[in-house]
Amino acid sequence: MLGLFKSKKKTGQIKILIVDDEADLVSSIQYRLKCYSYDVITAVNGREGLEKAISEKPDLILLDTDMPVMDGHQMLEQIRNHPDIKNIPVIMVTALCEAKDITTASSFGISDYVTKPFDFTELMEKITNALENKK
Amino acid sequence: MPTKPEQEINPESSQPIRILIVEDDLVDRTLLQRMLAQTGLPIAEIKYTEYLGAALEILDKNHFDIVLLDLNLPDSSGIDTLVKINEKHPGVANIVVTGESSEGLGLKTVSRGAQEYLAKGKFNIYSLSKSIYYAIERKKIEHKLHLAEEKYRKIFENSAVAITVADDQNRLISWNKFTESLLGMSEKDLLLRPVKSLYPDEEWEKIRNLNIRKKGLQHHFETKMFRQNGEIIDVDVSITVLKDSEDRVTGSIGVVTDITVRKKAEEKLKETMEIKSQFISTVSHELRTPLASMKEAVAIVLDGTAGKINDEQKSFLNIAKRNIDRLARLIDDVLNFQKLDYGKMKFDMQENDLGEVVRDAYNTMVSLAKKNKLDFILELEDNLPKAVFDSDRITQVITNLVGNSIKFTPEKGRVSVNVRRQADELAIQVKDTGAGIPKDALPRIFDVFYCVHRPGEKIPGTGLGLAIVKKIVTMHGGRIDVESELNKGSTFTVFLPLASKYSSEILSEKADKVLESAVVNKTL
Repeated sequence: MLGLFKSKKKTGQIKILIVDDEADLVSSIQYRLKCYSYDVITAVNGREGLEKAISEKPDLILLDTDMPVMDGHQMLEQIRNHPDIKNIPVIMVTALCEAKDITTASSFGISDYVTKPFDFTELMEKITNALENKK
Repeated sequence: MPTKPEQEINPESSQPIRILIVEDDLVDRTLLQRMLAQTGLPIAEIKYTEYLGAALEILDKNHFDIVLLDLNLPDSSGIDTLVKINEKHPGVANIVVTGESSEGLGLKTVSRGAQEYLAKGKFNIYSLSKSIYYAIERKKIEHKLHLAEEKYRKIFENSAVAITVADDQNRLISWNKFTESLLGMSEKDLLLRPVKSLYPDEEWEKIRNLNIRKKGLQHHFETKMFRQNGEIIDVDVSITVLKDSEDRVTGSIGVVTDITVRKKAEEKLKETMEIKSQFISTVSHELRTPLASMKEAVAIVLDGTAGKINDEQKSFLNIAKRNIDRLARLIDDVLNFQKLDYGKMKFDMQENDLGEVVRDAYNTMVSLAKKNKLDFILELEDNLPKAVFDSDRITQVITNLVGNSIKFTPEKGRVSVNVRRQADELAIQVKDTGAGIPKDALPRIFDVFYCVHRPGEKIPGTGLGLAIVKKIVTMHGGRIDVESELNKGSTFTVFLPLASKYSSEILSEKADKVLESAVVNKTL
């Protein structure tokens, strides 16, 4: 079933930043993405995420909403106000499927969102689409 | 008038009359007695006395219908004589018979409780008998009125609600005892107090805006009032505007009930509900995160990404996966139900084609029905009228009902979906040849967390599906019926109103549109 993504290979140069404080979830997503030759970097909160986004300039950011220190919404706002990284596509990963949550995020522009628990297939599709649209 | 007195007076005059004459002048008394004898009135007894004191004693001991009273007696004189008799014996009719003939005194005696006034030497048998009869009748009516008034006065006085009367300038002129205790105010505090001063400014402004005195006669509202000590209480107020025959406002009556306790309880309840809702929401969201980690970890092993696994390992991991999905569904259902229950679910009410919506829902279920080897049928009546409903929610209803039917119908069975118009409603019928529902379970299947237990069932329901279905349907102003026979099958029928008489609680904020725009609205 994952042949779909394998065919879109040549991902070696594509860098994805995962910002989430859930180490267990991060490790399995990271494992998967690496299987598809994505370059994966991680951060455990918004502040660290922002620093890595600026220094590493990833091609896409998977951003959790609810995190300590700086949450996903705050980080998103900072990304959009930073000239160097403002155009990086962001996929929000949220446990809060409330409309207001998504609305806040959408006001700063997100490519897509997934709600926990999600299917990896669904996440991969969204990542692929977001990267396609970026081109 | 030449007619005889008896005829002038009505037939009730046949009731025997007991008369007490209070007169110290022997000549006058004898004259009166003689005239009375000639009136033809059915007189049962005539008693007489010269003294007021004796008269009062006689009245204490015996019943008399009427007192013929001379005001000037050895032990009392003037209007006082009448007042004393009336005070002690308000139920007895009085005719003042006195030599002091003047219009002024006549009126005065009548205003102080006499039913009639006769000037000595100026009345005849006819006018005497007429006066006696009328005085007795008038007294009877007056007495009845008095009793009625007393009854209402008692109600007024003893009511456990505050009743106030205001004048044309909105100042208090009368109130019952409860008013004083409710407001903690004395007579001095209340008399001629402007009604306005009883309300906080912003509440008075609201009341003023109701234009009570101009508009209708009766108003009912909830507001707040000051007590004497400055404390503010919640009250329920009914105002009745008093008008004269020329439609001029003469005042108003207010009935005020203290609802502070009720209001506090309502607030407390609201708070508790809010906390409960918040709790369910937080817990559900918190559950999602570990579930996501579990799901991903299991999936990585299950789909072979982390290396080859054998069939046995696969089947056990499938159990884990199935139950993770079940937990996720349960959380969704709990959140869904909670939102519906608290009216937080936003409905996007639009004019929709039900046939189309049902067809779409049907199409998404075809593969599942095929997998279970079922005969899966869709029947749509031609020219179905459009109706107002939230298409996503109704899709949820159909998917849930059809999903249940597919789940509980054995291979080679049949599941059919039928949509037709029935009078003022659209009927969606989901019928299967499945397991059916036991009779005793039928009344409870729409209850929250109720599950029909079927042995050997792989994935039991969350017990919320049908409760959610029913809630959605009811909030659309519709209803749902079920018929079922064990081992033969079940039929669920949803009726949606054609006219948009759906619940006013439904808010048409387009939550789903917001979600869509969140995705579309890319700044990239």
